[in-house]
Amino acid sequence: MIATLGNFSIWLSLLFAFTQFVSSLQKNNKKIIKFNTIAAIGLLLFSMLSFLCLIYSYIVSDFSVSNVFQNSHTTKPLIYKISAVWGNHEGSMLLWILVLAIFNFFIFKLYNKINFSFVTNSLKIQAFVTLGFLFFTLLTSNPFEKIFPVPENGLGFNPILQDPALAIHPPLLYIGYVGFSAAFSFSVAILLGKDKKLENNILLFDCMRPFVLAAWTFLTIGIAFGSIWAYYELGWGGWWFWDPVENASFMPWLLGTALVHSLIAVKKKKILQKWVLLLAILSFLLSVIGTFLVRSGILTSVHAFALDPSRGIYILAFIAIIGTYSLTLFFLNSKKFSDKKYVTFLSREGSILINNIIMIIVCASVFLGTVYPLIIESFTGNKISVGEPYYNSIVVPIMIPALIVMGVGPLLSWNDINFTKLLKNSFPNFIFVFINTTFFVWIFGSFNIFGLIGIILFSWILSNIIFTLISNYSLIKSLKALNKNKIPKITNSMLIAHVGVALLILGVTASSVWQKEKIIRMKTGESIKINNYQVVFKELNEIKGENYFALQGKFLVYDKKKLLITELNPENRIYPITNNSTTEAAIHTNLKRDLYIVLGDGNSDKGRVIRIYYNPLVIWIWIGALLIFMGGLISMKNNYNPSKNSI
Amino acid sequence: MFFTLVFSIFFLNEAYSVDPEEFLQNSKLELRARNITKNIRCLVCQNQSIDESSAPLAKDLRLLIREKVEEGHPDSEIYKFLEERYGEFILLKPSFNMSNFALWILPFLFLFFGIYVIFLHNKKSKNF
Amino acid sequence: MIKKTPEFKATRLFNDNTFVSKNEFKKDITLVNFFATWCGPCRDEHAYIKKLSQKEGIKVLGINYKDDPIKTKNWLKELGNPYYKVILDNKGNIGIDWGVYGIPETFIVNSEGFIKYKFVGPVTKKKFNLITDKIKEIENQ
Repeated sequence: MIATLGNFSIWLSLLFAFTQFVSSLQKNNKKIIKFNTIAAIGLLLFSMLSFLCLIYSYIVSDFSVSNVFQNSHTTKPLIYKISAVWGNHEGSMLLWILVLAIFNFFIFKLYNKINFSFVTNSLKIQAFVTLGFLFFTLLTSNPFEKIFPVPENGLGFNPILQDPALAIHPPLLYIGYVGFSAAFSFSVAILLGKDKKLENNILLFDCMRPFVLAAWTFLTIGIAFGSIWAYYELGWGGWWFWDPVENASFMPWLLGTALVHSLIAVKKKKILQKWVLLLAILSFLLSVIGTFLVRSGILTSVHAFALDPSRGIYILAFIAIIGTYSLTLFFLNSKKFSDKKYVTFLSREGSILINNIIMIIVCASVFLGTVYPLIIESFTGNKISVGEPYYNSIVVPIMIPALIVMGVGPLLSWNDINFTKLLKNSFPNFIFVFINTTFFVWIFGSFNIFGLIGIILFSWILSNIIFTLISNYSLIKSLKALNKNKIPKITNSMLIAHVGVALLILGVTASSVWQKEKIIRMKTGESIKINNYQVVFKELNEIKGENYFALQGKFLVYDKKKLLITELNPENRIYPITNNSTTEAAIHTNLKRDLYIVLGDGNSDKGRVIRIYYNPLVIWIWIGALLIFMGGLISMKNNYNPSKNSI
Repeated sequence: MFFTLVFSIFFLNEAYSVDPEEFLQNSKLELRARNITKNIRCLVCQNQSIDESSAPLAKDLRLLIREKVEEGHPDSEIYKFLEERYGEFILLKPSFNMSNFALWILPFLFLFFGIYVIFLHNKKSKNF
Repeated sequence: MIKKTPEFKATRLFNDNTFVSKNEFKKDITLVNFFATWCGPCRDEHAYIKKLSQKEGIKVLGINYKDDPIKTKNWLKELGNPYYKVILDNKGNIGIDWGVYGIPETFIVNSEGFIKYKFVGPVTKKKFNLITDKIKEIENQ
């Protein structure tokens, strides 16, 4: 019953999306607003209703719905019954549509009173995109499909996916991906605009900002949650594997980063408009391409749970349509948005331009690495792998100049700056970098070239922020009467986000370069030393969880002074429902390091294989990501001011 | 593509994992061997190296690589040995050859083009 | 897929002679089948392997992968022995030489000692037909 209602709601959503699309094609202002009001609200309500219906079907374990049968089980904890809704292809499409409808509603709500043709065009594109995904869901991935006879119980789902971080990871990512759809719609609407007046167009770019910031901010935190999950669940002490599915979310993030920064240049200096238009289009196209790669089953990895070629072909066709349309439009109409003046190298806008270019290069390289095996296989039939070593040797070096520029960016004013002056200004930074780097390398006690580069980058970004803050504070007072333009101003949001990046680099560098690893066979009662800690394998117990059995090790960790630091309980779980087994690492975290223990195979005679990692400064990766997220949120708040945008 | 997934179930349903006993006594050789195993794909897994994998085939290959390292074969020979048997797919770092030319060269072309664009902007900006 | 068969020596299951790969694969088309008693799908495909050997008259070499000789003898006694020779790959080295992912795996080797086709996973009815077709194709060349 509820499932039928859900199915019906999707059809109604389709109807409303269609109404919005058709009404946005009309010329009569008043009529359009009336229709669009109904359409935007109706689309929102019914996509939400269909989503809630699916959640309900999961909560009550309605196995007459094939999707519930495939992905749920009565013994699953309630929270994972709910997260299972978007833990599979069909359900996640419904969530995707809901997020599209939410963004669509906000476009309408925030801007329907301003520049009419622009908003109507945006809504038209947004409706078209929504229609595309609605048809996709109804034709190839309907989550409400019924089965008969009704099975007694579901097939459960991968226990490795039963996890809090993974439960919220997809919704956050979708806000990111779908948020770029709004950027895409705005970009196309701007390109369709007839208004030649620069000032009016700049205001349109301002409309895009809150949406872009929302998308990028949530994509950032979504990726971070995925990483955290990989870190503690996959049991290898690593947090990024250059898995194609990770790449699929990383690529739009890279372009989103460029987009966020270019929008600042548009706002402050009215330049880089063309960049914004292109980046907005590409970010969304890459989000959809990412969906294609993951959902078509063309790549196989942990996340790629959908295997149906008809889906792939549909998404590919969709990409082809919106891609050809938007890019053609861009090449035909973007000329009037060209900068009247070229950007200088040594200026804040210059640093943004350099950042844009490097982000695009990195994105293109990641894209190349991701699709290259597919290309080679379809042309020659040979299978090749492009794995972590490739990305580490290509992407990391290309990223370095971007990070150097990022450090210096805040030091630069919006106009040209003299190089010698810059060097002179940077002098205290060099000292800071030198001291800081020496300090960290001394702490870790071993030299490593990548470690050195990472620490220098971290110190460089941090020092620039600190000194800019100091000079801002003292200069603003004394120079208030003089030309303000020459004082490099920084906003809180930028400050927080950039500190976040610095800390992220620190965590990434330290944990990958100075990680310590012990793999040994231990019997209960034995102990081992790792980096000044004594780890004692106390006992091994059998325990029973809500829907699994587990072997649980009890490890006591003592420090140098023989004080007990913590007890760690890594587990080996067996889920009898699907006969799956998982390893649950046990981690003790503090600001300095993570202690990470994994329980391996073995028996009481020979002992068990135990892997222990000493991962320095890992927590700073998550703190860094959180700060970037917060910076984004603050910027969103500062930029969200609809009254200012009215024309 | 997914046959790797499907066929992993044909293996012994007994989970191996990196055994400390596998490690070589000579720490220098061990470091080399470990590095090689990190660059070799576990063929029956999902985007994992054999160093990380618990699949029996991964274990066999780990043992074989360590044996070869101990016998004094250079890294390149070991990679070649594996590639001859399992194809290029086994190398996580694609080798630099004709068909992978674009993969290795394009990022640098992108980079040079990017640098060129930046300098072009800079030069033209001075003309104002 | 065209590759020369790897060179190797191995012990045989039913007698003490050493199997030398150089002396084999010279005259006839040979089917090389990796199997083990501990592998469930190997049991499933066994009927097809027998049919290939007994009904179609194809020479089938069995490579017993990481197994116990006594168990293998009993297994072959129970299910029938379709192999003209059974050799032992205790450590899995021969498997690695052939690029085996996991067993069962079956190779078609032509009369000049080149591996022409490889079938990963158990021989099913569909694969059975494919194998006989491919062998006919090679014979006619």
